Amino acid sequence: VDVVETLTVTITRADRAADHFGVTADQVADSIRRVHALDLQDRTAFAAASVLGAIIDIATVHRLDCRQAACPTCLAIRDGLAANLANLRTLRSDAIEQRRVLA
Amino acid sequence: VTSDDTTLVTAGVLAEAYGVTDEEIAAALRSITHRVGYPPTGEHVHFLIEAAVSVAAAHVHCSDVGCGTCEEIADGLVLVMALLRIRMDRQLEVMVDPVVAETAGVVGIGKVAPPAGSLRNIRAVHDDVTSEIELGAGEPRSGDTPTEHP
Repeated sequence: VDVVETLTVTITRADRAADHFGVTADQVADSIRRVHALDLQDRTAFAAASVLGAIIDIATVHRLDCRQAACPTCLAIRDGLAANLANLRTLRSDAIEQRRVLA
Repeated sequence: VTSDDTTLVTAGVLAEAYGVTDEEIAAALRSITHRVGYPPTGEHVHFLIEAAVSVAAAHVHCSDVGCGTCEEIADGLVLVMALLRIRMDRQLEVMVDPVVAETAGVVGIGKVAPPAGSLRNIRAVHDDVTSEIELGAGEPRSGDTPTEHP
């Protein structure tokens, strides 16, 4: 995995979407400041928890709003939830294993 | 019960509502661990970021005034953009290390000052022109010279 290349592709896509949805540079800067206040280990945990939370929030609201039969947003949310659960299960297994080793 | 457990339960309920199957979850898990290995790292976070961006991209044609999904997506994108910028900055810091840069074939790296209001301001240059990485549509302005490595 080429980290920079992967990040570049995602940033380009996120940048377009952020422009479209009216995200401002000031909002991003505020968020960056909040994350910078954390240490490196906490940043990963914060990032995972926050993005998981964002996907879940979108899914919750869209579930109530959506009336379309073949909705592309629903499809993307489904994929996001699959990745979400896969990650959560991985993280939980890891936490359980860590507890077992420490016990 | 930890916050992870609560999130897992919530995500599980929603996954069921959206018709996500166990097979799809298992496939996502295989794909993630195949690409970035195990145990979980920042790369796993990137998969979630990609998923959030894909949701935003899928909803981009919405024209409903006061759409709740649009509002949630905008909130999520604030966080996503911040995390992506932090990750890219860290990655570029690593690449600035002369030894790492030489190994990676990087000949120049630096930040290009963005136009006012733009979120796009990062640029790295490899010796292979086809692998040039540029995060914005604009050309660098005069005086925005990348730092050259010897």
